[in-house]
Amino acid sequence: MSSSIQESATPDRTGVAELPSTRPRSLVAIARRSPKAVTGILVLVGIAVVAVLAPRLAPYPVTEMHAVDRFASPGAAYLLGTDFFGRDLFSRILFGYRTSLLVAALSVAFALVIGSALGVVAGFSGGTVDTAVMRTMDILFAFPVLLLAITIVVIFGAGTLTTVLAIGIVYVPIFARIARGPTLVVREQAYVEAARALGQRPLRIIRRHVLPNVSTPIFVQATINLATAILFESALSFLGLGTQPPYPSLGLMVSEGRNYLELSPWPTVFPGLAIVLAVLGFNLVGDALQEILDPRLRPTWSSS
Amino acid sequence: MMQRYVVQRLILLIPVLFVISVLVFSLMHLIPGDPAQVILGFENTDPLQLAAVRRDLGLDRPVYVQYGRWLGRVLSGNLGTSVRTGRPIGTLMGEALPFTLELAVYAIALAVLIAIPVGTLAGTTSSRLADGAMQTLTLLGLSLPAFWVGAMLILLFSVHLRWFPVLTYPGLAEAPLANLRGFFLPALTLAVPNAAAIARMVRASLVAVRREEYVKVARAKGLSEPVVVRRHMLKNALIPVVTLVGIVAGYLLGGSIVVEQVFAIPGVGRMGLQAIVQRDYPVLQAVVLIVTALFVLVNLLVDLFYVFLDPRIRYA
Repeated sequence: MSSSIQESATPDRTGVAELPSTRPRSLVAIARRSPKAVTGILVLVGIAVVAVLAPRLAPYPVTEMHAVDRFASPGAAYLLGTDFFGRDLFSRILFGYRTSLLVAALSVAFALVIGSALGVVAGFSGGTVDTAVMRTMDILFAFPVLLLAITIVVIFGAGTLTTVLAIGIVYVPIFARIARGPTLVVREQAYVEAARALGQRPLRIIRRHVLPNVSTPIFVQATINLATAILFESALSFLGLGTQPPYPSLGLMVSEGRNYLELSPWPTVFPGLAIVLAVLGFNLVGDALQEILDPRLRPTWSSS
Repeated sequence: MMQRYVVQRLILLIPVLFVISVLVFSLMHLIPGDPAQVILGFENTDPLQLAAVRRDLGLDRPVYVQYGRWLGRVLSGNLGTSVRTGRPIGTLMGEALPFTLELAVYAIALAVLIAIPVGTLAGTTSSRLADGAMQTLTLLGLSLPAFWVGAMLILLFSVHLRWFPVLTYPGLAEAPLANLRGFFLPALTLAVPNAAAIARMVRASLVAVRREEYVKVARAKGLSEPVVVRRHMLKNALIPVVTLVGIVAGYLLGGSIVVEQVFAIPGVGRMGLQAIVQRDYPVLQAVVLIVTALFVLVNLLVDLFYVFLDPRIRYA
């Protein structure tokens, strides 16, 4: 019984029988229920570990050049081969992951905090505030995302931090829209009206009643956006508008490698595969979360 | 009713385009560096010459006057001149835009051609394995960076197999077949993630339609399965897909920046990137303005088309 997903109804503290829980109780149960989620989580944990331990795991310093070993093939000396300057691809990919994950995490966190706050405030206040905030978001939405990000980079100058800001700003309207919807619904509920009648401050109502209701869709959206943020960062770096050389970034590596495709494909192939793996990890988790939370299996889609 | 809705949407377009024009105009002023200095070159620091160039550009006037003059010029079709080449930006745009538009249209066509069969198969199959495989495959498609896919396609089809010429784009009118061949790999690159997204939408849409009464009725009437799928399920399931295709069409305009760079296509995206590198800001300004305006218009057309397709939609 203990391994079954649905626990039997047990009375809780108030003496009211609890609804049968649909929450999986063990890893095995989750795995059986969603192999997608488990695969994704394993991939992501693996990547996170190698990214954190990169300074210890990398066999060579990332910028160390080996003039004799330019374009070495994958082998014992260089696990994934070397690039034009004879730099070890494996070491560079490990450090590239640090950049990718850092930019993705920071930019999504930025968008999540600012966007959700705007969405909740807009939905909760209603009226002019709502209109002003949401029309501003619509205008941001009117720009093609990559073009908007590029414009922000041009204004602030290319670099890792600007990349975070550019991706973050582009994602703000997404979170604002997602947070506003449930807020509008909750605002009309009797318990919120009761809380108001009791004289509770708006901030307290938002914290106690609104945030718990908007956190789930926001969390799912964040997972999906982490996937697209990695693609985004790599695209900006590929265009020369993200992380600047000689710092390793996966997109930059592909950009440098593709000039020598005919001499050696590895400097292009491996960093690209590394990007795909990380993005796929987040997409698997995001997709699984959506399936679990939305039985109608709404399609996931977002683009960079 | 329909007419009123169209008029309403067109009127709403005006404030959006106005704000976009203000933002794009501000771009010129937000970018660090003095445009007059860029035109003169950084070695020339003669204050008199700088002041003269500023006067020529109207940079000594109040900002709102500058905006008014700029907007007036843009509305009369004058996008200004490139500070690098001295050529009118309208001409440059006229040369570059057809490449980008062809790439986008070609990519949409490929994406739809790939997505509808794949999505239909996944949405109508009774095999969980086939559905699961299709779901995983499309998720993988969504996880591919376009610039890398482009590089891999070049590596495989142009470098190794030599099936497709690299980086040659003859005009569509002069050599249609050679043109479609030259654009195939770039269009495919741009199509892949969008095909994955559309296929997922088709599948989800079909799964939702599958339980509808009219589908049960069609089956009960003894219609064959292909007829039920084609006439009754797909026809309804494709309505929401149209919206997505429209959104995708808009994104392609932005996404083509990367693909144009990978395949060295002299389109609008490459023009914009070059303008950034060369600090040719009037060109960049024009690119942002034109691409954003196109994006807004495409989205509007899609919304209108959507209402036309599905009369059940309440146009509020």
